[in-house]
Amino acid sequence: MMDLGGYSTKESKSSSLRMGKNLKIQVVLFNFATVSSSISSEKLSSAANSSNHQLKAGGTTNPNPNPNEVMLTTPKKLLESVVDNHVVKDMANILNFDLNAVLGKSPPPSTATATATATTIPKTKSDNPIPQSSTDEIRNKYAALLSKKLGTTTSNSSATNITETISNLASAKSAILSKGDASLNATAKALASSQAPLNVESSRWLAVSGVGTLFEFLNKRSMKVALIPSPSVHCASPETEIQTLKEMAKVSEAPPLPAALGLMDAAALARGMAHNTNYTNIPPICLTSLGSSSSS
Amino acid sequence: MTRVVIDFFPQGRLESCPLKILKSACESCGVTDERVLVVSDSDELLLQARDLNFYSCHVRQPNDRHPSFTTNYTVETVEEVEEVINAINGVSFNTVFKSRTTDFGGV
Repeated sequence: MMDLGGYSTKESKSSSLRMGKNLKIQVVLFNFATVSSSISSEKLSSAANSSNHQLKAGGTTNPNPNPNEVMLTTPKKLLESVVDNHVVKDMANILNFDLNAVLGKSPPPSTATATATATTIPKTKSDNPIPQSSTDEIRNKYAALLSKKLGTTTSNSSATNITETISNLASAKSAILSKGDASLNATAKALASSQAPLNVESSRWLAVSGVGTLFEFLNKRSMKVALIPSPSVHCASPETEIQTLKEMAKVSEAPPLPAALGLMDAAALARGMAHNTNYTNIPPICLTSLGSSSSS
Repeated sequence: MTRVVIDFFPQGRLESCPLKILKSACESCGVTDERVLVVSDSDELLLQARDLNFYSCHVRQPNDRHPSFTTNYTVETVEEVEEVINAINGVSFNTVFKSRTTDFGGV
């Protein structure tokens, strides 16, 4: 029979051939922690590093650490670090704003009088926690209406308060500009980074740059790729172990194999795999995210 | 979009013994001899790989400490593992063609 040069559409047996049987390396075992990184694990490691640096530097932990130098993890501490900032304190003093109310602490007795004579500027904010008495509100409201009718701006006490506050703000602005607000920026960065999700459920499995290209190269050269956990994960804590397992399970959340398998997929499916009690064999996983990262 | 196949990753409870980890992975991949390369930054895994006569490749950052033992290869990034594999297995035609994709060599 003459060969017309076509090839059969039926899956040929060449798909199950192992082209790399004579290679010196047939399997490459990658430590999962080496080739991957997730936002949560990076945070945990950086927090651990910062605590280690503290212990190494001073021998003992500083009871009052500088919030700008320490990696703060809890939101409460972050909020305290923002409130402790000198820029925020200066602004709060000018506006007679009670920062203890933000932290949920009871205000000191000296500030009670300050809140009673609070100006109208903090009151306009929607999240103003200072309780205003109803008599003050009514008085300010009618004072503003009267000032409008009379056309005078400096006749009542609230207007004088506003002008004082504006002048104080201008002086505070110049003071802040002279001191610099780098500390506030650093605190804001720490606060923004803490807003990223810490839980594993919402964090993504991220491969280190170059891993997608490397895995693709290994697939093309008919080498098997295996991800193995680090032994230290087991020794660290049960939480870390569970977290690592969840992150590794994220890999299996890739889209399922399509009906028309490629040569590599079909070859991988045809491979016989041994059974182990702890490590169960799974069908090969197609990491589309890795492929996209390598193509980009 | 390119697909990447990962043949094995652990499920269930994680092992703590490096020997069991490596053995289980090799058995699952169907490799019984020593034609295995272990890429890791963990001392325990690399030491065990060396004891099993596997090829070992240490991913060590520039500022990391030196290990107390020797490995076959040491790289700074995971990307350099490709060069290690080429050094052991030899350069394939695919690698050569890939490097010449932009330059076709025409006169």
